[in-house]
Amino acid sequence: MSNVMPTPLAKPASPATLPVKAGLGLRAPHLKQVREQQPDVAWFEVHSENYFVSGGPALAALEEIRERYPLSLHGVGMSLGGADDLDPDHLHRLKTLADRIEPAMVSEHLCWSAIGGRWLNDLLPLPYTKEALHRVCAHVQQVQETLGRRILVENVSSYLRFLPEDMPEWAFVAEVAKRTGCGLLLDVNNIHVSACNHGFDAEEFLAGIPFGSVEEIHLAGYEEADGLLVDTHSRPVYPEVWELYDRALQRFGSVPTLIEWDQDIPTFEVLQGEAAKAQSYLDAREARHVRIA
Amino acid sequence: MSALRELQTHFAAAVFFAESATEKLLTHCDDSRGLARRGIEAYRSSVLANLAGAVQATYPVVEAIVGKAFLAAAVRRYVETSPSLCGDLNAYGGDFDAFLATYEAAASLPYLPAVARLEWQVQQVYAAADAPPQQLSRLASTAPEDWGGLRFDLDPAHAVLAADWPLARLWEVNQPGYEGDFTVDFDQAQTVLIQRQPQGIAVTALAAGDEVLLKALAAGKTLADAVDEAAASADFDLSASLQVHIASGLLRRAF
Repeated sequence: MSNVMPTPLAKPASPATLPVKAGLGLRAPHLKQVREQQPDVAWFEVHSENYFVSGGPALAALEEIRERYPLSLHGVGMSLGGADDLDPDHLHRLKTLADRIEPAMVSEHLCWSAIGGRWLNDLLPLPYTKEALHRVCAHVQQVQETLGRRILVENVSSYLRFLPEDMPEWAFVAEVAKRTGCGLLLDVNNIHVSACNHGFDAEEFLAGIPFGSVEEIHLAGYEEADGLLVDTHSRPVYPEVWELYDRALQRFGSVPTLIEWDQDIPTFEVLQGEAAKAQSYLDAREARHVRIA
Repeated sequence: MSALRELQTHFAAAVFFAESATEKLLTHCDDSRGLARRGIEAYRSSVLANLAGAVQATYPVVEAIVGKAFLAAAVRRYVETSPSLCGDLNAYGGDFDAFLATYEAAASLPYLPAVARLEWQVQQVYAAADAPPQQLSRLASTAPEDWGGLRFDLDPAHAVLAADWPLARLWEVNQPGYEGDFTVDFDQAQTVLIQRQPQGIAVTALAAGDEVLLKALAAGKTLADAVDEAAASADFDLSASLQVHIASGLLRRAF
């Protein structure tokens, strides 16, 4: 087949997969700076819904970013765990965006956001029951079939635990990947937040997730109020979460890692500092790996 | 009702309708650490803050007029009574103008709903489809006496909004960085043309004849028919209209 001319890629600057490096969540306040200065960042992730538009400057900016950096589309509004059916319009818009942008990755959350047609527009926790598992898996499959690609699903942080449950959260998360063939986006900060709020051992969560299923990791900062940890994405990553990240890398190997910051958004340089720190963990893990080999 | 649907229904009720529903949701919760009530409260504030934040960000001119605290109070009431119907938070808040029209605290500012309507239209225009490059060669190659048979495509990124208030002026004096005369003649009703242009959103007052012309062209009528309709307005000036709307890119294609 060597005489077959390779088909030119439509978007040659951006590879089809995310690099195994530290990337940044790109939010509106930094869009201009990134377009003008083209900073050295391994990859970017954006919230899909912010680009559910027909045209205009926001979409043009995203296309420009996409030509220069590997890009991941991260959804916050699919309501995979809702008792309601998926919103066909929402799914259609995601497909339109994914077809246009051809991102390296598409991900969503293991949560629910709407009931009875009313949207809470938040990442709400599920009861870890067989019924919820069945529901989530059907919806993940529907999304994957519509998009024509695998997606990653992310564990959310939670402030409530529902009873009765049929399995712990980590077994639920692992089972979704097993049944649907989707990958996992492990949010290490969310594991820490939920572990503290519900009194489970974060190590047990990691141990319950199979090798090879984690394809991306998220890191962020939380806030504490009245004994409850709240996943605000408003702070630097906490030392406990860096430690948990290191253990996750030991267990799952090096995977693309993202810094998220969504409230009280700091300067882009502060975000780059956080990404550099994540990169140093990835580098250290690779160095250890080489020594062992 | 499935257990999942029941739980999610109770959860939404606890967020939006507070106390009695909170007790019901608590029956689904593990409270062995005594944090369940605090957890429900965290979700309530998070959901309401997300919804309110989206609305507040959509209405900067309303905010410039009434102030941040006043808008925040109005939005708080709005999110409690107006359900979000979409997983895309950017789609929430489209009927904030109707809410403001019934909001007692804003009764002394009767033009506020019209300003909100303008800002929602601005957001829609900002996100509208991109137009193909301007293509007016048919106009150039047609003798002026035959222009009557031409039709025009308009840029999708535009909207026309009629109001009983001086909307273009209210928009202008409330833009960040505006310096100059702040006098607004509230007796002046204005229909405005909202356009997305390379340098940003433009909001301009539209003469009555011009409004009729654009509406007819947008409906696919020929220039001759559109001019017939517009000619009833005393202020109508065809050549000025065409010049302005070609220069601004609103008229994209003649065919």
